[in-house]
Amino acid sequence: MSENINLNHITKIEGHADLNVEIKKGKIVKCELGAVEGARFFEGIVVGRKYDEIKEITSRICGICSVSHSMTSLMTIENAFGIEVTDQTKLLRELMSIGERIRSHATHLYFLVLPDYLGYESAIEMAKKYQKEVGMALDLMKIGNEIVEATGGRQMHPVSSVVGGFTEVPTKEQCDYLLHNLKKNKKPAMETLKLFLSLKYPKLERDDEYLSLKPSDHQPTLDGTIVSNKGFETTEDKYYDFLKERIEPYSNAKFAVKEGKSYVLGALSRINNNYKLLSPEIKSVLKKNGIVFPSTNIFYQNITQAIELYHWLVQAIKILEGRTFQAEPLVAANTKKSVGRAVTEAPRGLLFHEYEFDENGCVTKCNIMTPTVQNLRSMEEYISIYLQELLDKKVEKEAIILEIEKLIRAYDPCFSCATHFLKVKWKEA
Amino acid sequence: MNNPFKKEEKIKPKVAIHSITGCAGCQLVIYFIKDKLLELLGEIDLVAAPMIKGKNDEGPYDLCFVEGLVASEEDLEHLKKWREQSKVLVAWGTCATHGNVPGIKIFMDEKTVEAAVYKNRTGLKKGLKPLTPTPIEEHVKVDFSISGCPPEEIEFLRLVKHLLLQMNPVIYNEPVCVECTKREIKCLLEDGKECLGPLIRGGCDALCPGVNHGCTGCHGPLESVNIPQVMKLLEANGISEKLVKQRLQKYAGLKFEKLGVKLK
Repeated sequence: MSENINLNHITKIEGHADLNVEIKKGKIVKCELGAVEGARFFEGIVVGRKYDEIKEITSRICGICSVSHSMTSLMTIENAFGIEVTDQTKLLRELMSIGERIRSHATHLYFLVLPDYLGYESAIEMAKKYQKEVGMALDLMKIGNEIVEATGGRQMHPVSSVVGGFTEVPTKEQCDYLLHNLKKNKKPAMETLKLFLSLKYPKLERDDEYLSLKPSDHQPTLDGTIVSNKGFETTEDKYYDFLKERIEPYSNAKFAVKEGKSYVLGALSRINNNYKLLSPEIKSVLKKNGIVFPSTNIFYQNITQAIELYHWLVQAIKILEGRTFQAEPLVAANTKKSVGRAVTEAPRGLLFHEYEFDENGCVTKCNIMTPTVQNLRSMEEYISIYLQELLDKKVEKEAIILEIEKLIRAYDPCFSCATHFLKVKWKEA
Repeated sequence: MNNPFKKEEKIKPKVAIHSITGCAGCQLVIYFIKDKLLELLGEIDLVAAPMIKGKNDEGPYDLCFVEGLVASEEDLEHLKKWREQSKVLVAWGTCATHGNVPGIKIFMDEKTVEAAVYKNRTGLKKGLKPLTPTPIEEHVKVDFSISGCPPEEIEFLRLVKHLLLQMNPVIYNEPVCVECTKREIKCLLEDGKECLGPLIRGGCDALCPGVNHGCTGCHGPLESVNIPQVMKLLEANGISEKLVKQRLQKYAGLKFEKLGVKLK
């Protein structure tokens, strides 16, 4: 007997992806997870264009993480031309990234993840019974968006952050407003953490390599060396040398591997590698709930996002308290024939940009590797493992599909970034 | 256009939010609506929204928003299906209305662009074959076009509200400059800077000039606009014709060509 599972355009993820599984005599013989989003060829279309509009173009790779693409793009350009931006610029960029992290995690946790665990098809359906929770989600998404708006000029595809600095900085009134709203959201953020600690997650463990940034004294956003739990350590200019991108005929997103093997990015990797630097408050909540890090359960991506949500909210308050921002002139760019590389932590994990420039500051070559491209191989492998486990336990088809979707959503994949997302169809032969 | 939302109908209009190739940002603008999202969802029946719903109905839809541009055969199939299933179809965001940044590809050698991303690609799965990136208006009839990268929340709310109130919706159609004047923002062009504001449809409340950044044109052009005059202004500010053309290729290149500007 052979049967197939085809999930076409999987829902509640960002972008479009298909899953095709072939099963013979209860064993999986093929498992392919592919991005079916139309290709937009960003790395090709920026060639020949001037450095000052590259951020504007690459930002459009993704709506939910446009700040990450923007920041990485600017840092890549600045690395290429040897531009050193001011401390205030670095701080504002970090604040903007925090805003994005908050809204991205809140959206993912409440709109894409929670309905699965509470038995609803969507957060909208869920709102009838869980009005308070959905209300908290919307408030957290709002404060995240407001931070991005105040620092970047717009909640998506930020405009005021440019090569060399900011065209405009947040006013005192804006900062006061943000601070007030952030403090109001501290309690909902802690309740969110407790809520996600209380959910029952499947246990799916493996000896994985978790890659993330590791700054010396804080949780990672835009800086730090690249490390893994396996002792790997490198810097942003060398990162790409360790990776290979493979192309599969069933996917418009490529698959990145490190020394031929998959690896895991995202909140779980960041917390696994930087657990020590979390606040005593968070550690005590985790301890009370019996949650220990490092963790090898891939479903803990959800818990670690909730941890980060609270951590970054508190961090944003720390940054803003007693601080004002002053207008500064942009640091000028002296274009030259050069190569720039930068790696940052997008909400979903390590994001890599690389540009080559000619002497006039026009791009001659571009290479971008998004977190989802890097997580795709691991996702595919885990689907295979989990599915086999469920098949062996003779779980009902519908329940299997939901479990597989939960697994995919735990990675918070962004198939627009990688190119697209997933649709689910079960076919028996 | 006749408003399909009948006064006597007690039934909430069936609304769909669909996407083809894009960045999902335009959909997020809707889900990020501040303070009013749940109230709005109470007035409509959101029957399909695959980004946030597990259960998604096929049409018929009273109102269907489509984000994204046509970049693959599958995109085109979906778009045609949604058009057939929808009374009112809205092109939502600059990918849908004008092709946006992926549309830059049409001004380059497409094979070279593709080779820069996927070298020696063979045996591609059916449906994934790339098509020349084009806005949805090139393929189906669109009832309302709301541009913007991303489009503005207020334009979404206004359209839905007008349809619900049986009004004939009117899409804002004034240049960015009008909003700069209203907001008393100092003209960046007069300051010798680069700004495409006079060419571009506003509706954003002069968002970029408001943060001391020239308009980059993400809403695409107004229908009636004196392009050569603005080109002259920009050239006087030291921005070469070549560079201006590159800038105009970015969000709505195809539309500018239709308005008579040679961008290649």
